Amino acid sequence: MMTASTRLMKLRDWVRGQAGPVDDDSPLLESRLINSLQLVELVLLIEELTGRPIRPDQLLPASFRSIRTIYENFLGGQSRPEEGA
Amino acid sequence: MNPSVQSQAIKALTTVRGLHWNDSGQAALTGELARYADRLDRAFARWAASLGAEPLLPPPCLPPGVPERCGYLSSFPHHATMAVPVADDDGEDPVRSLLTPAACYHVYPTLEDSHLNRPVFLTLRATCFRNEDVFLPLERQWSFSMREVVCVGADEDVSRFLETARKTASAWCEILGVPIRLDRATDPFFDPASSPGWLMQRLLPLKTELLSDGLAIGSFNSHQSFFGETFSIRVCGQPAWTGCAAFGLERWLLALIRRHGPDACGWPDPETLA
Repeated sequence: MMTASTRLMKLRDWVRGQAGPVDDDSPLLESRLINSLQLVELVLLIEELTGRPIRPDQLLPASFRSIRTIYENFLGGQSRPEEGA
Repeated sequence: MNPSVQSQAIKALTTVRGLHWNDSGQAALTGELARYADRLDRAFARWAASLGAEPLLPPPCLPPGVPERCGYLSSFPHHATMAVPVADDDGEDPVRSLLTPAACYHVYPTLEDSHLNRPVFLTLRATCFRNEDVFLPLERQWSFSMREVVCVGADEDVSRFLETARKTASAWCEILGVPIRLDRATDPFFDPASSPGWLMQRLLPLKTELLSDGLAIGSFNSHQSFFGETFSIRVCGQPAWTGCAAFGLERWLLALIRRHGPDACGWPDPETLA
């Protein structure tokens, strides 16, 4: 079973691989760091990391805003991912 | 849509005085209904003028090349109606001009290669064309009237404008006695099962709709820097952001009919809006 901090690390690696050096609070969609095709890949990555499908009612703007919000809403993270990582 | 539902919807509107429906998806308005539509539009235009909006009188078609640059033909080919001459013997492709699908597409080419040092507002009314599987009077027409107010500026200018527009339009509906709610929207064109566009719209809401009984009578849209980059419009050195508030006049009439009955003589006075 992957720990929350491992999932966070994999998420960070993926996002930075797509968008370059971004921090955990960078707005991924608003700043267009992630495009619509990459967004689909991101959803698949989250599902892969958690082993669970994302339900339609979980597709909320606030949850996908940044690495931090994805961590908190999907990857089992607490409120301070930098400290837990 | 079930054909009988469609015919019932059309029959229900036959009592509306001044509405002349044609099954091609077009309506002519006469009498008090026509006067009311005009007064309502002038109220929208007065509000636009109060923001400093300059008027734009658009041609019926988008200039050749503009639909492609705006991505319209790749995103919404099923809605497009082209204007084609019957006789065109100059050897060139006659299918070049798109009948206006949304008013604001006329704005951006007029600002191409401009460098602005402050936000610019424009307003226009256009007859817009959208091909649909089913047409319904005042609700879903092949051609309809759209009043738009467009803001071209920095991102914060556009956000502020859209917020003001949402509040203003909500207040108008209260004055007119039309119940509404605001809801973020996704284009139905995008198939949730297969389209990355749908997911992006859902998670980055750039479009809010003003809904009356489920009918979108207005929308408030942020295009971010898409048109600024496409048409090289810059504000203070950065690609301009754009946003528009759009009002479908026929749908406002339908919302008023549903609330106040078929005779426009008894409807609230639009002169009080702005």
